[in-house]
Amino acid sequence: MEETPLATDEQDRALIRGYLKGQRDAAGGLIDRYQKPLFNVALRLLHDAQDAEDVTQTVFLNALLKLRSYDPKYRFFSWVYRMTVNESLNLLKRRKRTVGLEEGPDIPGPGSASDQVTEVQDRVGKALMGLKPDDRAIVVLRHFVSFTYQEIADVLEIPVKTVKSRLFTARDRLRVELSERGA
Amino acid sequence: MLHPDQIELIHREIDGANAPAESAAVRKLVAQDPEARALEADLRRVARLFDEVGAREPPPHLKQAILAALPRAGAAPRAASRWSSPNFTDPLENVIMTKKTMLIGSTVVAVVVVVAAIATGFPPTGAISGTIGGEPIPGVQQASRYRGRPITPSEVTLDNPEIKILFQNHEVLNLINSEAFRTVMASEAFRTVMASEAYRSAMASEAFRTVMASEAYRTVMASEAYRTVMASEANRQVMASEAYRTAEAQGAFRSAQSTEAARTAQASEAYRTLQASEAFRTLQASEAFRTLQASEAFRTLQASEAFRTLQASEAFRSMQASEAFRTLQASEAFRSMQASEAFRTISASEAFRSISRSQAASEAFMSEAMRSAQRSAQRSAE
Repeated sequence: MEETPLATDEQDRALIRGYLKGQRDAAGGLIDRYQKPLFNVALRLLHDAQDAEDVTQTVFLNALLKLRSYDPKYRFFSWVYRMTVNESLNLLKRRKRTVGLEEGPDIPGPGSASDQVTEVQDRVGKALMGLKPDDRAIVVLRHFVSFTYQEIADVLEIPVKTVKSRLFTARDRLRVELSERGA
Repeated sequence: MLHPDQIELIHREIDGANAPAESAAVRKLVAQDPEARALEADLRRVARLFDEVGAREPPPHLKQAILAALPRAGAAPRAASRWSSPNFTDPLENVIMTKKTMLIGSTVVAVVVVVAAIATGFPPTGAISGTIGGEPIPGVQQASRYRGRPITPSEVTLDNPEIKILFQNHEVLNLINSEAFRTVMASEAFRTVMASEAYRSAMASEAFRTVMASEAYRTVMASEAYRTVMASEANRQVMASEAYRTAEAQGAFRSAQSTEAARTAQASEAYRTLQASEAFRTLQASEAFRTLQASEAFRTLQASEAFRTLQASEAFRSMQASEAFRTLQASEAFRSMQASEAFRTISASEAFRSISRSQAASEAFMSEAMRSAQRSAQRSAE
C-alpha cells in the first residue's frame, strides 16, 4: 500500500509554525493542502455538498484557532481528518433527528461531469449511505483519500485490526448493494 | 467455500496492502478457485466505481471564507481580539458586541432561558408551584429571572454555517430590520448592561459555558417539543400579557416570589392557558427537557454566583424593565424568529458553541446586519 502524499508532516509543521508566528499565508497554505480532501471526505460521509462545505469550514476554523494547543507529536493531517469525520458524524446525528437519511439531498456541485459520471456518483453515494456511519467513514478514508489501514486507525483512533474487519465487511456489503443496483 | 483468511487476502490485494509473496498467493488462488475469482472481480469493480466517482473540487469561495473568519493578519490567534477578553474599552468593539449580543443573545439564549422558566415556573411563583410535576427543585431559581440573558460573545462568528443560515432566514432579517430591534440597540438600558461588570462576569463564568456546551442543552434546543412551545399562541399570550410584563418589570421573578405582581401573573388567563396547552405539556414531558433540567451543568449555572449577581444587578433589572426591551420581546419579528427553524438550528449546533471568535468575524457579522438593514430601508424608500 502506498504511503499517502498527504502524510508530509514536515510541510504541515512548517506551515503551522508560520501561522503561529502570525503569517497569514501559512493558513492559506494549510487550507490549500487539505480543503479538497477534507471536503470530499465530508461530502461522501454526508451525501450533501452544502453540508460538506459547512463541515469543512468549521473544521478549518476550529483547527486553525486551536493550533496553539495542538500537540506536534501528533500528525496534523490525522487531527484534521478526525475532526472532519467527527463533525460529519455529529451532523448526521442531528440530521437524523429531523429527516431520514435517505431523504437527504445530494446537491451536485458546479461543474458536475457527464450524466454517466453523475449516475455513478449517485449510485455510489446511495450505496455508501446505506452503510453505518462509522463503517462509511472507514470506506471513505480508504477509497476517497487513499489512506492506509494504519492511517485510518490513527484518524479514527481504533485498532488496525478493527479497521480491516470493518472495511472488509462494509465493502462486501457495498459489493452486494451495488450489484443489486446494477452497477 | 473461501476461508476467511483467503477473503482477507483478496481484500488486502485490492487495497494494495499485500507483500509480493501474498500477492502471488492471491494470483494463484484466483486462477484456481472460481469463487475467489468472482470475489476479486467484484471487489475490483467496486474499487473502480469509487475511482470513477473521483474527487469533487471544493467551492471556490471556501478558502476565502475560512480566512475571512480568522483573526487578522499579524494578530495571529493569540493576539486576536476576542469577545471573551475582559477588555471592552474599545468603543467599536463595544457597539458591535452590543448589537451582536442583542441579535443572537436575545433570541438564542434568552429563549433557552425561557426553557428554564418553563421548567421552574413560568412565571416563578414560589418554591413549589410552577415547577414540573409540582415538585420543588432545590437550587432552581425562577426561570424568568434569566429572561433576556445574552449569549456569550464567544459563540458568534460570521462564517459559522449556522450564522449564515440565520442571515438567509427572513425571520432573522425581519428582526434586524424591525424598529423594536433598532430601538433596543440604541437604548441606554441595554448598553448599560453590556458594559456592566456583572454581565461580563456571568458571560465568563464556567457555569454558563458548561451549560452552553452540554448535550442536554443542545438536545432541548433541537427538540420539536421546545419549538412547538415557542411557536404556540399560548406562549405568545403570556409573553405579551400585561401581568407578565408587570411582574418582570418589577424584578419580581428574581427576588419577590410573593409579590402581588407575580401572583397576578400566575393567575392570569394567559399563563393558565399556556400551562394547559398541549405544547407546554409535551415539552415538560419530553426526555430532552427533563435531561436538561436534571443536568449538573444546568443546576450549577442556576446556583452560580456570577448569575445571581447579574440578575441582581441594577443594570440588568433596568434593561428588563425598559420599554425598548419589552417592546422587542413582544414584537412579532422577535417571536417569529424564536419559532423559526433557523433559530432552532443555531441553538442546537455544535459549531455555534465551539467555533472561536474573532474581531474580523464580528465586524463582518455586523456589516452584514447593517447592509441588510440598509437594503430594507432602501426598499421602504422606494
